[in-house]
Amino acid sequence: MNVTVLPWRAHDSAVWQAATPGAVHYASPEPGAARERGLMSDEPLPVPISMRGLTKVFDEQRAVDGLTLDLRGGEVFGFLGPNGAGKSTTIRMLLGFIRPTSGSASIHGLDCTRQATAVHALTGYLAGEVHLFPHLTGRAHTELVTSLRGVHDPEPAEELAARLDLDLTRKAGAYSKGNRQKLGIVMALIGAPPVLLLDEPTSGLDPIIQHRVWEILRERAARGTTILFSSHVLGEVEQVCDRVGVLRDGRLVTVEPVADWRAHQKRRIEVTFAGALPAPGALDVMGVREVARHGPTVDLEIGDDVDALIKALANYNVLDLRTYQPTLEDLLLGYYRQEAT
Amino acid sequence: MTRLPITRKTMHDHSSAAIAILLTMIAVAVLDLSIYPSYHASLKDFEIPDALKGFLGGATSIATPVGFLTAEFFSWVPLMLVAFAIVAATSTTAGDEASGALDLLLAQPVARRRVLAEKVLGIAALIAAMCLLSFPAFMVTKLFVDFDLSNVKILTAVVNMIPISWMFLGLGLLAGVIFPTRASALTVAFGLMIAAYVIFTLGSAVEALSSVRMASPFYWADGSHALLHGLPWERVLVFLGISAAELVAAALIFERRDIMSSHTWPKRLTWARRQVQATRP
Ligand SMILES: Nc1ncnc2c1ncn2[C@@H]1O[C@H](COP(=O)(O)OP(=O)(O)O)[C@@H](O)[C@H]1O
Ligand SMILES: [Mg+2]
Repeated sequence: MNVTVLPWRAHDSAVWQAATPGAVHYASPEPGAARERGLMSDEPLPVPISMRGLTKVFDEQRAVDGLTLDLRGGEVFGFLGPNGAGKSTTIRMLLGFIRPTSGSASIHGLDCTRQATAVHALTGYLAGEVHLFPHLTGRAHTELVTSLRGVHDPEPAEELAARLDLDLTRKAGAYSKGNRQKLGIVMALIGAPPVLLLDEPTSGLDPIIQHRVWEILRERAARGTTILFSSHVLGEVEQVCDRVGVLRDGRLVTVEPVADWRAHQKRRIEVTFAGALPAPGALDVMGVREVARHGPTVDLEIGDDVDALIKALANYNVLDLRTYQPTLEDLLLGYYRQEAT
Repeated sequence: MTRLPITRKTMHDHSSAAIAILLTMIAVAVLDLSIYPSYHASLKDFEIPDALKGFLGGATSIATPVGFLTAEFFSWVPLMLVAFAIVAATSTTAGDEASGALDLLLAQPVARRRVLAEKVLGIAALIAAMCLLSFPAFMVTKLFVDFDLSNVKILTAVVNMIPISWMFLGLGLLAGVIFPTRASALTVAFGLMIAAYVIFTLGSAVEALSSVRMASPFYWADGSHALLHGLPWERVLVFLGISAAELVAAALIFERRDIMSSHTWPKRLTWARRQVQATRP
């Protein structure tokens, strides 16, 4: 029998090392290699992120309410929810910053509250709002994190900064919101931790940089990193994530693979007619549903089958046709509607 | 890796305030010793009013080197150091927390208590450095003026300022982890500091307060005592013991407490305001 201890499972030594003054020499695992070795092990891999009935009550408000969820190794999980849904509170409980009122969470088998220091050795964190030390330069920040993580090679941080067009020589106090966000991302990625907890990572970034961030995250995931990615933007979650969990008022409304999700996602189409409007219900062909009409315009909701609609529309004089990606609000409305019926 | 990166950062954060205080101490030391000879002559027969006797400590007259130095330096410089200790201490948790940057340190694989300890070490070291670096100013000035007090005694009194400052550092630390905002922590810690100082100085003037005076840490850190009798070891040990206890208590509370993100603070305050409003008719 060949039992291999994964670097990030040797949590006792991680705790010990983190508690030893001046020596936070947590050996950052090379996830790919570790996984290969892990395959030779008989034991099942500990779940990268696991939550069991995780609950936080603030002043009688249930900010997070009975969250039970397991993330798989190497997946990018989209944690989708409007403002105030409880995304940040959940992530802060995973870091041990906030004690759960009830329930528990673990990262690679380590309890997030009791073994927070060891959890941090495995986890890169980007705060929902990045705050920096204004009088330190960007590089002083990355060096601080590098030294606290016991990472010896400063090169990756420099490379990441270059990829994100971030000037590390300037003082953080002079950074724009976008630059603060970029530095936050670079710091979260230092030491290639096997778990990333990213609280709205692309907020405040321009689209080109957003795409680069997505690209970097996909690369990390391909190397085995498990990523919890919170967002209130539906489109971006669809772009980068393997699975999506929708959070509303602290509760998980649904958890689905993005592929399935797309299949039953409704799209919105607005059709403006030149002549006579179709009779109500006339366009309700396969998978199409009329939502509203105002003046010469009819709002439709359609599923996968665009073709059926086009064929049905061919009988009318169409002036204009616009399609919309549904927003998170549309999506949540859908769930409210489902609940009501 | 760099040793004690958080300590170094903390020292860097507070270095300008520390340098400003050190320069003040040096300037006052040089000035005091330089003007003493002329004062000495004119103050020979001066009876200091009872109300101000507290500033002399155990010295009999302001016209002696011990009395003069106690009144002009050791009676109020500790207050400056203590204020520095409190401001710096509350910034370790409440300050960084309010600005949100505490997240950045606490997300690293370093225990919360170690983050706290490294910061405290930095502030404690700055305080000790300020005191010790002020000593050469006395020593050098003494070469040029006639001031009949040994270097050892002055050094003792200078060192004697450290333990009380550390004790208030611990107090600021506790206030910082207990109270929800830096402002409230500062208010409480400064309130206690001022109360202690007032009791100490008034206590000497008002007969009825003379025993209350002993409740003030400033009484036990009296500079004249150190100048006359050397370092009061028992008192120093008590101060150090209290400082250590405060540090441990602060660390325990800090370990167990929720770390709020900055943007949730205003919400908390809104919540607090609502509670206050709810109690109104
Ligand atoms: N420290 C706190 N005190 C009181 N309420 C809080 C606190 N932090 C968060 N909340 C509340 O918990 C809910 C969830 O907040 P949060 O986790 O920040 O949501 P999200 O990140 O999804 O926008 C919100 O209603 C918020 O007002
Ligand atoms: Mg949030």
